[in-house]
Amino acid sequence: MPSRRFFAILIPWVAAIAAAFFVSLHLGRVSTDLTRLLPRGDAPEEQLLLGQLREGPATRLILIAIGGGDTQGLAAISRRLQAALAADPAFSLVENGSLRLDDPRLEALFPLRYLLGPDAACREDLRGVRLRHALQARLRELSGPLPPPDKNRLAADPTACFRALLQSWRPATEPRRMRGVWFTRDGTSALLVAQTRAPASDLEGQQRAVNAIRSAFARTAPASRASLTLTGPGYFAVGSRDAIRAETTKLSLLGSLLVLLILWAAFRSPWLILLGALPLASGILAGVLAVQGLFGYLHGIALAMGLTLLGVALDYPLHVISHARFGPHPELGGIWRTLFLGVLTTALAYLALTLTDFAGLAQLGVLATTGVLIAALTSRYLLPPMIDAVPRRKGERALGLALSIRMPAPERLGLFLGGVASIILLVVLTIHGLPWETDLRRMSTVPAADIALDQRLREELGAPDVNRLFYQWADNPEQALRRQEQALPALEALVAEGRIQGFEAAARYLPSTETQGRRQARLPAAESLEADLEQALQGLPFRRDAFAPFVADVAAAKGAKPATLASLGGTAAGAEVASLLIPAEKGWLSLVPLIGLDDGGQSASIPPPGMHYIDLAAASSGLLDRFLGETLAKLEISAAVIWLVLLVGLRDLRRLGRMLVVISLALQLDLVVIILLDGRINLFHLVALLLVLGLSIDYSLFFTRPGQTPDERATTFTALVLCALSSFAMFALLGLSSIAVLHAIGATVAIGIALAFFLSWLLAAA
Amino acid sequence: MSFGQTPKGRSKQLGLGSVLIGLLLSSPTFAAPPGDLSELMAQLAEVRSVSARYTETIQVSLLEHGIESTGTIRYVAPDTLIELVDGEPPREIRIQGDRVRISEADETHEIDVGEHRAIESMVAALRSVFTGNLVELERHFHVRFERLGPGKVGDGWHLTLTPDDAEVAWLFSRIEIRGSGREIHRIEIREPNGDSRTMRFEHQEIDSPDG
Repeated sequence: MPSRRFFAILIPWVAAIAAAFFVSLHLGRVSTDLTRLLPRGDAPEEQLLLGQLREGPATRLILIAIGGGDTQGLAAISRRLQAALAADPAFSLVENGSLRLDDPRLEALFPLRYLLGPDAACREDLRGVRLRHALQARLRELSGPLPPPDKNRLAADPTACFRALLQSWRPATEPRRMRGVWFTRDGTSALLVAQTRAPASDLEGQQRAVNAIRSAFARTAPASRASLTLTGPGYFAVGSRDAIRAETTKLSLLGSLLVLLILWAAFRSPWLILLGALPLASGILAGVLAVQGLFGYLHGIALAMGLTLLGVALDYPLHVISHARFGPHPELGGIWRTLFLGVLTTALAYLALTLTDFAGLAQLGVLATTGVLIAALTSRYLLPPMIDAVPRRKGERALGLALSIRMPAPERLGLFLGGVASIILLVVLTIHGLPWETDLRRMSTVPAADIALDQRLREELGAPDVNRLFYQWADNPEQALRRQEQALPALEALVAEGRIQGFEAAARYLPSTETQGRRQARLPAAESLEADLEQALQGLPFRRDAFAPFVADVAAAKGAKPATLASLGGTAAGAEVASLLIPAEKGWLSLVPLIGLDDGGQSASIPPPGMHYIDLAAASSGLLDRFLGETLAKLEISAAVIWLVLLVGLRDLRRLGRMLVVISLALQLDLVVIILLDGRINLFHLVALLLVLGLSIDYSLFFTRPGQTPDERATTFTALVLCALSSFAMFALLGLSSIAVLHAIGATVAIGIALAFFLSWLLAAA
Repeated sequence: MSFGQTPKGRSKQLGLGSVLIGLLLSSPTFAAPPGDLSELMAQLAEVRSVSARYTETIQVSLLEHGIESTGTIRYVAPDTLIELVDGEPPREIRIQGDRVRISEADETHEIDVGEHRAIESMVAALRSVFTGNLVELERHFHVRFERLGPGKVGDGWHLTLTPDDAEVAWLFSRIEIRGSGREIHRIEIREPNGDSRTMRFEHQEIDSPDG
């Protein structure tokens, strides 16, 4: 049992950690939105891109496929599921392709038909001989083999204006329809699309929506063989959060257990093991609080990566404890200078991240730098008196001495190996090309198979390419719609020329108030319509008063208030308009997604006057390119600073040279192994390499410590073995994960640790 | 979102009435009056082909009086139906499997039955009448079978089909088929708003193993 002095420090320390934890929870908005990692773009193009990525209506889509069963059974489930979800307030729209002519949502549009519908059936047919032709057409339909589907509306709509309106809204491409609902082309799965009200970044909302779909499916398809498949950005976000949460918990529990075993083998004291954990906990909480204080929120990914980078801080207490317990001199004087140099250089490397204008990376930098410094300071000033207060056991030094094996190697070997590693790296880079991952989607945490499935369903549903579009800014919806109306002829011309197969535009669904006003003026006055109708009815078998509702509706439409975004309400058209006309900070953004663009690389030159072209995929990969470039540039600066600090701190060029050989060898070989294993280098690999940098500085610094007695060397060696073993155990477990992010980080760091440790041992041991 | 029945503006009417006629025409030859519905279905399954003249009357509330049309119809097992509507020019409606072809003068349109829920449901369910598939029929409709006499040849019977599906019921609330012994007298399709269409048949020529 330690003395009272131990608890006199422990209790306030743990209390401070607990307090910090609660403050952080209280402050704590943790954001999990991937796009927040990216910079706040200044150019409207980047704003557009980020807006699309963040909240765009396309990100609120959940694609649903129901497979496993006969067509009829699947269609029936699709109908019941559609009905159940449409009634759920979590969804703004649920479509399965069924033609529900009595859909109550359509009723809201019926009175608006003369303002929204196409010219021919909704205005031109209301006069003179054209009205008579329309009536004759209806008569033919009524006497045909099947009554027209809008038969019940004909009294109020004899020119079939509403039918023509809905026809004009029909999407350019539609999925195959079987048993009246959407199916995949091979007919094996029924398809539905649900749009959530919650944005994709609202994971709780997305989770509720996904749960609603699952439970509705369980209710509508009880005891059937049918299976439910979901894809979509929100669904993936929920899934990856859950998967990462579960996997991280499992692996870190296992990892902690392993580390505990290793430390137990070394220290044989629960109190010392506790001391090993306290600086790391303090560092993490200090880093989190610093980020929350500076940024107002903490990004989930910054937190996860920050915890990774702070892996290096586990080493500090291990060095301190090892030297205090096993070393010949209990006081820290000797190693503090070495440790301090390691801390300083690692902190400098991490600090470089804060210089980027990518918010997520800046957070990561602040978190890691603060964490490393706090962990080092607490190790230095709080641990020693506490270690002293823990009673020594007999034979405590045995382990340290037993592990002391020297591996002397000729100095030239390092240079030789360095040269070989550089050549290998060059060869690998030549074969693989520049392996930076610039595709945002592939950087996501979603398994590749799910992304492929998502793309297939999107294609089946005939969704337009959301990556390539025209856009335009306006001060208000009316202005946006008017500008779009002016561009419509040019857009139609592009279709006619075959440059694009089609396009979507808000003005197609919702004409501007100005246009609607002109249309109202063109509607016939009641007296004139009545006269024309009487003329048109001559000799036809319709009842004289059959079309009184028609006359009343035209008169009402002539005096009605023009339709707005709100009038389209919960209809598919309303959802479409809402996704194409988006309120933003600096005004209204109208989007014109292009279908089947065949540009031959000339896309930038084809937008109609006043519109701009953007390829979101190209823009996002450009952004990521810039991001990686910027990160690397900052790392070059920090590498120079680190080199200077080491030079000043060590005042020993030879030692510095040996260290640099080890560090660069470890990083280069690690990079080669990652490229060979994963094919590409992504952001997560890069962050993991930063940790490897920090660790290899630490290992090489300690291995190259000059002027040590054999006892001191043995102690240093023991400490390094403990550091490397425990970190390796932790990250090697992560590397076994099937989740790409965890695997990337774990494998990179574990391989890096092994390389840095053995290279330091081999090449740097003084 | 649209009314699927009218792609590309021009109204393409599917011969649903004709489907019904064909299906029912295929069924009037009874070796003996059916003792119950399953017996009726078993007999229907044996019909190989039917042809007949028909008269159709359409009652619509918008019209002062009903509209009448006449034509010829021919059914060949298992799934082909050809209707020729009298007129100048005559209109031909040909249904084969899931494809529907409508020809009038020089114009021809094709429709996939599977695109339209109500039609597909009707075609599938009524086809099961003449293929004698009672299980399939009852999946789509509530079926009521009624004998109008003591059960001898020439006594009447009455079949009422009520669609289970709301989307189908929106177009058709009820289909009533009346016959007696070897003859179908009429088919009446009732719509929810009270409109109806009624078809009467004569000069039926039926080819079945025992007919």
